[in-house]
Amino acid sequence: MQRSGGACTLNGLYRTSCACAETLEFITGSRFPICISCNRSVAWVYLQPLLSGPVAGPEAVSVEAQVCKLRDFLRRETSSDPTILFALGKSLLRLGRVGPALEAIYGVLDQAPGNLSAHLELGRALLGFRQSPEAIKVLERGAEIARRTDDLEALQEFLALIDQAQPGREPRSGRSAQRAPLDVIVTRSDAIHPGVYAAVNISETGICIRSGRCEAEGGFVALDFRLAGEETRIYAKVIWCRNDLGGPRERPFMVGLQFLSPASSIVERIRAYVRHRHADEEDASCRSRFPAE
Amino acid sequence: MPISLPGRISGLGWSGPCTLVHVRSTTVVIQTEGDLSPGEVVEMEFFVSRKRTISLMGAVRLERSGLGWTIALIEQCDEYREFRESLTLIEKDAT
Repeated sequence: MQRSGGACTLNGLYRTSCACAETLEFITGSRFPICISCNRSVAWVYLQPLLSGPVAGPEAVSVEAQVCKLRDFLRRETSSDPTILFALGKSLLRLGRVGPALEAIYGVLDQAPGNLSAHLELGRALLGFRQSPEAIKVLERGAEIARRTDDLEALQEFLALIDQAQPGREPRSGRSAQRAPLDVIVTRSDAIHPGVYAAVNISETGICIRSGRCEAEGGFVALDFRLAGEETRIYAKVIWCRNDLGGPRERPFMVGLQFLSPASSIVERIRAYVRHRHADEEDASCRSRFPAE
Repeated sequence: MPISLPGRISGLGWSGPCTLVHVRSTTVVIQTEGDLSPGEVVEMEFFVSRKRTISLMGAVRLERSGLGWTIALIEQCDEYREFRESLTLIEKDAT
């Protein structure tokens, strides 16, 4: 992933990681700007190569030479290292030889099924060649591995690509889901910016927390907290953050986070919790309206 | 055996300085400011002395090691083999 100010090393279509999700094309050597909508320094997620087709001219000759060397190497050596096969797949993609390229990358996944880079490359390639259903399968598998291995950066790339593969999909809205108050400590356990927060409320699509610092909108976080007696880990994206003047001094910021494709077991746990809290509230309300004689 | 040999690397549309920090028979580990991507084919040149240069070609390993980028070698020149052997001899002497 690249940040504002960095130089582009790979022609392609990129999207900002902030909530604006601006998509722009960049060519090698150009500098990544700040987000044109929110005017802040952001990370740019690589989505796919430019749709200008395969490389041509002297570059194509050089890539062709690389392909020959990689093929010779693979014929000569019986190494179990999938790197060379992956390099061959990427070089063939640059030349626009889709069939052999995909065959090589699928071969990498046969050798290293948990490899995130191969999942990303295959997902991008399938998307580039309009194979959306297969691309989504590959990307969702990659996202699952990224989640399991706590690789937030890769997870962000997978989710951006999945969104791109499903342009008509309704964005998940946290507003329509029923919320319930939640009074627990939430730990941000990712290596990027660890911290401790106080939960305010939760729904099946997101959580509201109080923070001692201003959280960057669009940032991805891994959260751990206890819900209904069970340890729960969930990945989320910061949607908004505002200074709550009436809040406690040690945690003056209110932060709204949207969950990122949570596991169905966790969604079920949150739903059950929210239902249970609302049922308790109704009981309490009935008791206050019709007190026992 | 950890080393620190300056050189240059060129990858997908860019080139820049790099340092060779570890050598093995089929891989090398390098450090560079450039952003490499797994599976990228790179060419490297390291300057052993004023007259001797090592040329290598390889592919960036899928997973990055703590030391730097691991490059699986596709092509290595005779100078590289000599250089690696000389390092092995130094290592044996040291032990």
